[in-house]
Amino acid sequence: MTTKIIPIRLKEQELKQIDQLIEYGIFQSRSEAIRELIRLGVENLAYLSEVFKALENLFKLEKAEGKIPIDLSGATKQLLRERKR
Amino acid sequence: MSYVDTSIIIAALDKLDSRQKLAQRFLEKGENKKISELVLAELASILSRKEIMLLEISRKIKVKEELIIPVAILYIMRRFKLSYRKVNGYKRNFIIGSMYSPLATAIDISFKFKIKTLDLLHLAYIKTLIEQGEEINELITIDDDFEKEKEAIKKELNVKVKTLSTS
Repeated sequence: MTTKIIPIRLKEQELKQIDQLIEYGIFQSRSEAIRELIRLGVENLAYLSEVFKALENLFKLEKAEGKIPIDLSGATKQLLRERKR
Repeated sequence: MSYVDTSIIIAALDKLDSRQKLAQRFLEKGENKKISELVLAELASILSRKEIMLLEISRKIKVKEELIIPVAILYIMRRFKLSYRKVNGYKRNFIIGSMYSPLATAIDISFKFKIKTLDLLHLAYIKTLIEQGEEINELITIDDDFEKEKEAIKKELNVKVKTLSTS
């Protein structure tokens, strides 16, 4: 399949979100990320926006409560037990 | 670079585990920590069974319940500076045919390790990632089964097993 290069103008915030996805290793480059995100469509961009807002709120919650909010008490034994089945 | 096993991440969030602080300290200070999609899947599975805790968080941060697991996973990745590395493509198993690379690799290496399926799959992911250019030289875990196979892992994958322990 042939590809074409097109110029694209993005808001700084959008580019920042794309760079975050690259940082997490979800995509290897801006080009790959933008190509895949266009494919996923506008509806999923709204979904990503909600996810990033929630992520920000989760870090704020950690700061407010002074501890990691995710509590997996007892899960280590559970994981190791399940692996040994 | 280190491949981080799910067990370390879970332990860092498990206040009932004696290694919690040790696991947290390791995850907070270590650099170049890689995880695979298998780690993400195990994390999602464990998180999905902590329904009350997740519902409470989703209420506090005002996010739809169906989004809380991906949000929690991204939070964990960012909080502990974990980088997800994807594996590419399919591989041809000589006898069986074409299949997803880590699974084909698991079958290829299975006779070298006497371990259960999920542990074998983690080793297969490590081998696949190395073959695809990642410089993984260490497996960080609290799972004793990797420790028992550490010599074979070093010999076959050139990866050192580091088991976090309080003793």
